[in-house]
Amino acid sequence: MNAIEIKNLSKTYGEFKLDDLSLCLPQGCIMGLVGENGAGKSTTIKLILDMIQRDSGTISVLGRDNKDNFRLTKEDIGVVLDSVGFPECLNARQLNRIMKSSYKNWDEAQFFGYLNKLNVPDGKAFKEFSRGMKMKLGIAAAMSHGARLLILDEATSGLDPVARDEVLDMFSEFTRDEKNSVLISSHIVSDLEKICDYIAFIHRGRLMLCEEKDVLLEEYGIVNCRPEELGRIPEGAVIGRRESAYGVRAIVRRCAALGMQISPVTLEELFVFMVKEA
Amino acid sequence: MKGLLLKDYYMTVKYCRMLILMVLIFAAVSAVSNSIFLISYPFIIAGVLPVSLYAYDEKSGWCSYADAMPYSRAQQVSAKYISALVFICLVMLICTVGKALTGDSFIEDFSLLVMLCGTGLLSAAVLLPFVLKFGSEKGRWAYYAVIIIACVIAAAVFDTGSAVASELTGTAAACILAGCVLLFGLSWLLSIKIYEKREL
Repeated sequence: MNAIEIKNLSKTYGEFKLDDLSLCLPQGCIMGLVGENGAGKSTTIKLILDMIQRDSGTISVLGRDNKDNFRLTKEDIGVVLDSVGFPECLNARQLNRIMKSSYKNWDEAQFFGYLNKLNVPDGKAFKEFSRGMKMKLGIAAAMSHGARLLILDEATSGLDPVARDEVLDMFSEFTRDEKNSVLISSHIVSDLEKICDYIAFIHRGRLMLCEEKDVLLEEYGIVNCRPEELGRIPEGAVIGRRESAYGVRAIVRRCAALGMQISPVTLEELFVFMVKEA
Repeated sequence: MKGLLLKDYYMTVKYCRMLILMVLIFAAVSAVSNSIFLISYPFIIAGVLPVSLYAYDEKSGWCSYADAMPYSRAQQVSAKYISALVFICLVMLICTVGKALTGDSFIEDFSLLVMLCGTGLLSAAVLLPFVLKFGSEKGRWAYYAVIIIACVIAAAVFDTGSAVASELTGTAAACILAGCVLLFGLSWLLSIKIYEKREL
């Protein structure tokens, strides 16, 4: 079963259009949603959560259409939104009581365990929290009610490198149970490279690619050469290029650049080059 | 829906202390001075309190977060209407106790009690659909309009209102209350319809 299955999804917001997006997140996997600001990542997440109305297409979450009694499905979804969303005057103990009254499977011990692990104080009002601290709290709440799917919108932004590493480990640990899946959007592509099985890249409302991370990294590489050397590679195999006085640095399909010296590419380089070429 | 009501309770205690204090002061002053205008004000505040809570929800991003929780849109709206009813009942209780301490009794003046409850119910019934449709920023104009209109009506009618209220028969008062409850119920249903279509 796919944890998320989106087919031909479209949504228009004034001048912005999310255009005919289709993707699948298989159960047990982590998918990273990458794109620039305003590319359509948050819109996609809001559509999955049925917070906004789609113009066309279908969305199935944990095997059920998200228009079909979605309230019940949401018991199995842990969500961290970009704005986190907890009222500023509350503290973690009060939040625990609210969550306990909201989720059937709320696990109080697990929640306080996560707070302890992430060094989040439980008696302090959220207005005194840094953005990173609020994010940690949101992550702890999302992972404390037996969710089968985590939907995380920029959940690692604002976290220091140590906390980010710890949180990424928590997400990886979460998907060790093959029934659990994660959809995570982030600008920090290096985070996604660490934990994701699949990468979906959205650019100006269109899905540019959705592929297994390992396949992407195996398929593409970087060549540093002279312009005339690059000219020998078929145009369709060159994903992006950057020219300087010293030569050309380009991302190419490895199979089209046989005989040339190719170095490994990172996801970040791949996306930056793709955006600039698009 | 218990979680949503609990959250509103925590927020009321934290954010609306001044409003609660005003309710107590107005109730105390009106109990002593016997002014119907003053006693009507706490009921209006009770009706508009859920609107203030919704504005805080919007500011913190709770509206979106609550929508990701296992609550339907109807439940999210209903929490605000139930809060309004609870606040109005509490104000009624406070004012009744205040009256009783000064030797008066609302029970003897059923018509007045009905008019006051109706004021609170109507304030919530008018405001909530606006705020849920347009958000608290745009909806605040409706907020100001309701406060001003309610105060003008209270000042104009209730200054001579003791007589008006006392002249109302029990049946007429019950009809007014039924009308207010009906409008409150219709507003509740309308807000659910509005909020189900709103993009958060």
